[in-house]
Amino acid sequence: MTTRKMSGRKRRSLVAAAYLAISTAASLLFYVAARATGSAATDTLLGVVWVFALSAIVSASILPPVLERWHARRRRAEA
Amino acid sequence: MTRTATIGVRGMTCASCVQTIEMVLRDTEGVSEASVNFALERATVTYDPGKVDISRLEKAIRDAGYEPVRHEIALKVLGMASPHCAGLVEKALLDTPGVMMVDVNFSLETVKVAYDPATVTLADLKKAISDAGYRPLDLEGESVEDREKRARREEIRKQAIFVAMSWVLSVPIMLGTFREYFSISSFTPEWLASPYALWALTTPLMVGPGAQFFIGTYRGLKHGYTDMNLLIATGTGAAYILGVVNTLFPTAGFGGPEVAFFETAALLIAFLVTGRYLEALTKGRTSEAIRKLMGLKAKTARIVRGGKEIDVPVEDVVVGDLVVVRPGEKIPVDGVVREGYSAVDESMITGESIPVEKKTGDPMIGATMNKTGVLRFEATKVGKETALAQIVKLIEDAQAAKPKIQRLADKVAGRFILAVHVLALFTFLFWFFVGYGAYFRGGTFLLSSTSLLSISPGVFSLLLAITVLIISCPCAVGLATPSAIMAGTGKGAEFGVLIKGGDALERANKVDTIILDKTGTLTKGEPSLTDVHAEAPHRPEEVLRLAAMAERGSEHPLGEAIVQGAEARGIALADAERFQAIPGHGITAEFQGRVILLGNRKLMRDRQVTGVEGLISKLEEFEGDGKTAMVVAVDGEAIGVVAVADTLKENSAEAIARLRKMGLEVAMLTGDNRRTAEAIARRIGITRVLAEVLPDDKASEVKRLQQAGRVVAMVGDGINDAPALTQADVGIAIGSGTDIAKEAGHIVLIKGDLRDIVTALELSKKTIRKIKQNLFWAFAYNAAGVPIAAGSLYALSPVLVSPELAALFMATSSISVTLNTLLLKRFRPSMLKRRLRSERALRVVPLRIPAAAASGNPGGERP
Repeated sequence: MTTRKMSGRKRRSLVAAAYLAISTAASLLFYVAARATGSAATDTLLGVVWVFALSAIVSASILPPVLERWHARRRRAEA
Repeated sequence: MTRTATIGVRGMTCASCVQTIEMVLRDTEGVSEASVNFALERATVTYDPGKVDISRLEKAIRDAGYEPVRHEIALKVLGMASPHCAGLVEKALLDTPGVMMVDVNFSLETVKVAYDPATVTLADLKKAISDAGYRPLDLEGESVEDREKRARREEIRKQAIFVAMSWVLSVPIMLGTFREYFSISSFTPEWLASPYALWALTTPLMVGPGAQFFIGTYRGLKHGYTDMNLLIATGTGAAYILGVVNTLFPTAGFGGPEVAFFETAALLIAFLVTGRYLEALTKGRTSEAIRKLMGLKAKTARIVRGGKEIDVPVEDVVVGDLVVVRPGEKIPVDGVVREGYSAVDESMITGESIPVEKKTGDPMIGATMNKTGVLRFEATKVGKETALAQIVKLIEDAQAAKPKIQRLADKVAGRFILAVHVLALFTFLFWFFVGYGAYFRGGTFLLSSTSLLSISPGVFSLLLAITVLIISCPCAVGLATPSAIMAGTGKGAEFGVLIKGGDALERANKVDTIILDKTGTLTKGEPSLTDVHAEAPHRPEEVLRLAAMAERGSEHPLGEAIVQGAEARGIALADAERFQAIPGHGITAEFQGRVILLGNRKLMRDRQVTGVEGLISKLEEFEGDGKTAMVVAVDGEAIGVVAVADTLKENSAEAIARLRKMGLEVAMLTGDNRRTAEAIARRIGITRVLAEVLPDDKASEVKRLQQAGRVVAMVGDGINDAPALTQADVGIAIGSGTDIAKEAGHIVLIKGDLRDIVTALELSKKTIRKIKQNLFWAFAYNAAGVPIAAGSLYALSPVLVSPELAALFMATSSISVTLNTLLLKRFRPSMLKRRLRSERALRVVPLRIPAAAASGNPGGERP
């Protein structure tokens, strides 16, 4: 049970790091695009927060099953 | 070794909650399978007790944001002399499978036990204590049903308080927000329009009724799962934060106090909480049938112990107890009548409205109602073994099983939330970078209220993205199938038709061929005397009297049928002598020196009986009708013929006519020879006969039809029908038949009335139609609502759906699905409707009120 808990925690940390990376990248892209199109600073700020939140949610939904599949494939390959 | 436990779960709001809990449980080490029933609010978990215990499973559910419901009971335990005894009681209980927690209070002599009612019963707990050498006595606490009822009531009450609180706060928020827009300034104080006042009123809404959405989101995200709560939390949270920012920093550029959005957050929560309240109310009603069944159980029983009649809790009745039931009382357990005569209303179990007469030797079904006389009966089945408990379990299992259509809907609902968030993101990006510049026109209004005169692209885009999140409703998709299956199976139980799951309903809907086993299904399975023919100058009574007297010593079913037939006709029988059976041919006996011979033509030929030729045409006529005909001869001379046949059930012909009218091909399957089989088939209107089929070949016959592209339903009752019932697309077992047939069947007809086949098929069609309607509306609502909310029509008409209106639509959609399902409650079988119509037609003459009823004894004690 201990091994499983550890791997679960590790997996969650990995996923959380991935969320942050994806969301930051999305927000950064948005910021660049908004500044390039001449958007107001407040609107850009609002957009950066909103894009970050939604990107985090979307990646939180997609990443765990994708990682799970990736792990399963690796386990199979090792076996 | 694995074990299966059922855990009650509170707090589920949609199909994605089902998926979340299932995933959380499956991710727990030691769990091999987890299935959650949304409508029943129960999780069924198969786990390895060596790796995980129930407390850990409950914790997993709790961590995911839901409330596991524990079944607890308090018992008084006498005989505990020391704390060591308390330890023994605790150990005895903990060693019982299904017990999760034991708390023994030595000084108060009480023990509190948390247990899984699907694994262990109260009687088992008390037995464990007794076996340890102590006396479980006073029973306290609630039954499982009471506890579930209370949990449901608490949930409804909680949501009702939230609804009241939401609207009490939302109304002044609306008045304050729209003070300048409509003519309400005369009775709305100015201070109410202040953004600070609106903020002060909205905040309790967010931390009170709205908190459930944020807590649910947090717990879900902690485990990496997203659900409906997330959509709502994102929408309301964004609206609220924007309101706070605009209040504290009016010049920051987000629209200022003019675009506070507090009313949006408040109304969103008010509508959503109202939706949840109505859902909690209606959700309970779809599973009403099963709760009604559970509620039928008697709470106490009067048993005879030590020569005295004592009242005990029904859980204390053991097999072999003599139970006494007076008129107007419920029969507590299943049993066999040992003494007394009465009429018993079994409609609650079998659906048959006419009370059934009970005499010594007759079986009794627990939870039915004794009407007229006192009955003493021996308990044969108690606790989980009773017919009622079996029926409840069967329906529960059926409602927990997910048909293909539901698995697909669950999958869609699970992906839905992700898709909506992606869409919300794209909606924001489109309107931010393209849409606002291309289409926005100042002065446009949202469909409900807020002016968009001075809104910035960022806020405008955000508003549309919030509306997309709020309007989408995976709940409706998730509820569509389980609610209909629950209502359908519950309705079936009401009419004595037990449907084992959505898969059976789905397949029954497609059936085009029905195969009916003959013996025990179309016929009663017991031969009875049908005809007596006498050769002149003899009289039929004389022929029957002699045949019956000769058969009195016989144990052959044909002989018993002749004796019963004679007795039923009031013929006095004397004892014959020198009875002798001639296997395969007949019998011989003597009476007052005369030799009686009864049997087939070969026997008559062998014994050189005269006058048989004159009876040949009669014999052939009877045999042509599928009857077994026997010649009766006295002193070497044939005097007549008696015919015996397995009689058809009263409603067989009516049921078959109806099935054929429904466009189904009806076939009869039997081991009888073709001539007899065809004769019976003709009498009930069946044209296709599968005769001379050996018991082992019944399943092959079904398979043969399936290979020809037929969707086959097989109806049978015997052990030899079990393989065919399993092979068929839908196996329909007759309830009066053997347990094996019932186990093998997908549908069980409790009454054994063939008209219930029609009811089962009609109900399956209605339920599947209801599921399709629900899914259509749920998908149509989302398919239309989400694009409109995203502003797809804005270029054509400058009107947008506001987030609060989206919340109203969302709440309405899931409630409308549940209400549509509730229409199934109006289902009446067509055969029943016909019967009621004909009964009404017969009531043209006013009924005379019996004297017993007029004198205040409507039941009328049987003389």
